[in-house]
Amino acid sequence: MADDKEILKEIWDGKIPICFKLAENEWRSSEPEEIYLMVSRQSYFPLVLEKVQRHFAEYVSQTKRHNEVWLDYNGTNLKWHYPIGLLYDLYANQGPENQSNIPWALSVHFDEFPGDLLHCESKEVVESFFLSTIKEADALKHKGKIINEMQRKDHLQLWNGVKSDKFEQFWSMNKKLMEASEGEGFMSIPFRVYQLDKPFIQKLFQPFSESGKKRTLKDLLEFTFGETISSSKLILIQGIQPSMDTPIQWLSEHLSYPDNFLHICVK
Amino acid sequence: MSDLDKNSNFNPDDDPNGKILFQESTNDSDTKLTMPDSTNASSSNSNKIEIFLKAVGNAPILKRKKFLLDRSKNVKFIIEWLKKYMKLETKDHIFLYVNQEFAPSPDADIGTIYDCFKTGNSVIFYYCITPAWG
Repeated sequence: MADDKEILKEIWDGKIPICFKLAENEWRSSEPEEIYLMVSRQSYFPLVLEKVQRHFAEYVSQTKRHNEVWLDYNGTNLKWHYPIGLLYDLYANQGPENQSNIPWALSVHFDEFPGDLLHCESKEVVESFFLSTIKEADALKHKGKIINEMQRKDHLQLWNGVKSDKFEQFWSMNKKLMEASEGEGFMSIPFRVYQLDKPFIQKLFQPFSESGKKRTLKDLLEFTFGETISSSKLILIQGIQPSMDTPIQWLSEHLSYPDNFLHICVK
Repeated sequence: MSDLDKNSNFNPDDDPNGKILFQESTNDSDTKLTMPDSTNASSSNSNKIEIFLKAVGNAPILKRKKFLLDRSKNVKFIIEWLKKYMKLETKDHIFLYVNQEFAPSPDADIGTIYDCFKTGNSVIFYYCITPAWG
């Protein structure tokens, strides 16, 4: 895995330029300027919105400026508990050759918090959500053995790595979660398949066939949908269109988000 | 024992939304609930998942622990249901765990959790009002 460090770093450094605009009906007298940020794909919106909230707070009515901020993209409310890269790939990414949604233009709201979004009162809520997802992933990979053997400080190291965008801090601990025996791989691959306007799909999927053959991304998608997937579909993981013949164990070790899940968009 | 008094008010027929959300899994015909919605009444149980709801710590216990729930219902639905059932405020928290291991994503379908984490033929959820397994 050491040879692949460059790939892990490249994935980690994936960023999305975002243009935040205050929603039209929310400013009082004058329209504030938009704010542009370069945001890590691996991060979560509550970790990056502080600056945005401060920038727009003085333009909204006094009673609302301390409200919980939420975002929409072209009318789709964005879930803060999905990694930012996943939200972009699912709703805005038209494929690696198409740059029409760069920067990604999002509307910022202080008012009328939608019922379909979860509340996020503090960064601790994000932390606990993040660690829960890692635990679920390790339950699939190692029956939870590795994450449960870690101490609180190890969990914090994972979280702080994500929160502060520190590659070394995160990966020096995360590599333990990525350990797999040669020729066997993880017990199951933690993956979720996302499509527009549908709940995500998650199933038990082993990285090797009974005869010991490496299963590929193509195998996983066929297993998920029960049929061969049309070649006209756009498949995105971490903003990349991987070859359908890529072994799924390799993808899981290298293209998973920090929450240890392979988040796959099919559109 | 205010907690106990509160518990005695838990009636499985009582539903905060005025309709029965969970179909109880029980062989006792006296207490077996039927789906009030006639369009659902004829649907088979194959799309339903048996779940157990077990209290942890000082969370109020439910009168019944076993329920049948549509595969397509999600985790958030159970959390909201428990909150209303226990008459908690919206700001209060319910923490829900699968197999004493992890808190599932609120938008995960019950069917998905069953497919990945079932115990026997059911899913065992533990709920509490303070965080238990992180």
